[in-house]
Amino acid sequence: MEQLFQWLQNSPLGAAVRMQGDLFPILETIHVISITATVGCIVIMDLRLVGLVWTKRSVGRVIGDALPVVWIGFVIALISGFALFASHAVNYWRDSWFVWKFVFMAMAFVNQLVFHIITGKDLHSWKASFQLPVSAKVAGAVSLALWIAIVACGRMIGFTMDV
Amino acid sequence: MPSSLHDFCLWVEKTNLSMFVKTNEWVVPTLQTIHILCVAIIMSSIVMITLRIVGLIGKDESVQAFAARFLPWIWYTIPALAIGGLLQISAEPERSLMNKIFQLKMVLLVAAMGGTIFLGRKISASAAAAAGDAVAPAVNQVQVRLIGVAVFVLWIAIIVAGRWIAYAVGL
Repeated sequence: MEQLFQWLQNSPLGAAVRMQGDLFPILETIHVISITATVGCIVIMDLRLVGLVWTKRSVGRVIGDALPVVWIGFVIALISGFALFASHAVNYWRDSWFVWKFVFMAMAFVNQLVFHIITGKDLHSWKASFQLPVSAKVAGAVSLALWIAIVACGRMIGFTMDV
Repeated sequence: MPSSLHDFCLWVEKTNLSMFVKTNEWVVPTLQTIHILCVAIIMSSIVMITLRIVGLIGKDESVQAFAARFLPWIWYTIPALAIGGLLQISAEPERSLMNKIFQLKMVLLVAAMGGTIFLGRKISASAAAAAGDAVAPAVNQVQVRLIGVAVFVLWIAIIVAGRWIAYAVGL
């Protein structure tokens, strides 16, 4: 694994992000803008799913409003994040906060998948007044907690990583 | 820079609050994490409102309903951002207060907040006009769109400035 990351770090992409003037902070800025849009829209969906707010609009509609932004933002965050990772791949890989960030992201992905396949399979027939099943509320709460943890881990990398 | 601001920074650095923030390792990352999460709430709220205004999402519902759902969250979050921001400043006042990008960020923040208030008023006026209220002034839909997009750009600019403070120390 480390060999692969060493190769990535030495690749033209890794070298460029590491050494080319303002490229690193530019990518960081793009990463921050995309994650705030994405995480914020996930929070919107989760809060609705937990049933805390905006109960006049159905869960399906709130998800329909926010989900496109989540995916567009996620793809931008993924690309900019990959370029940032390439600059110091080995160091990121050795940072435990970085690893935890991806463990939590995998958990959030599984949580979302389970919700869409099982709990929320008839989501679009749920009216605004529909009494949300406990499993849906739990899925929302778990997602909320995981994404808070993901942001915290991401922020910690900047403090702990050895370069 | 006027020396008075410099003196103020030196005074802040010696306060107990400043000592607490900079000597406890967990405080700054925790504040920054809360700060980013609050920014995420503002960012997504303004994205939702802007996308509705330009007609890309939620067309089954009025612009006013979207604004009523998301605008308050911007105002709930700003105090948390201000308190967290002040605590971070207390640790290293010179790094921010005397930083050109930080100063720019504050100017942009005032503009974005003013713009957000203005946008809210235009949306209400537009809704009142659409409801046939004779006293309500006619509001051009194009005007609401332009203001919406401008406010959205201002909030993005604040995030950009926020990220660049760290790269403009000593400028």
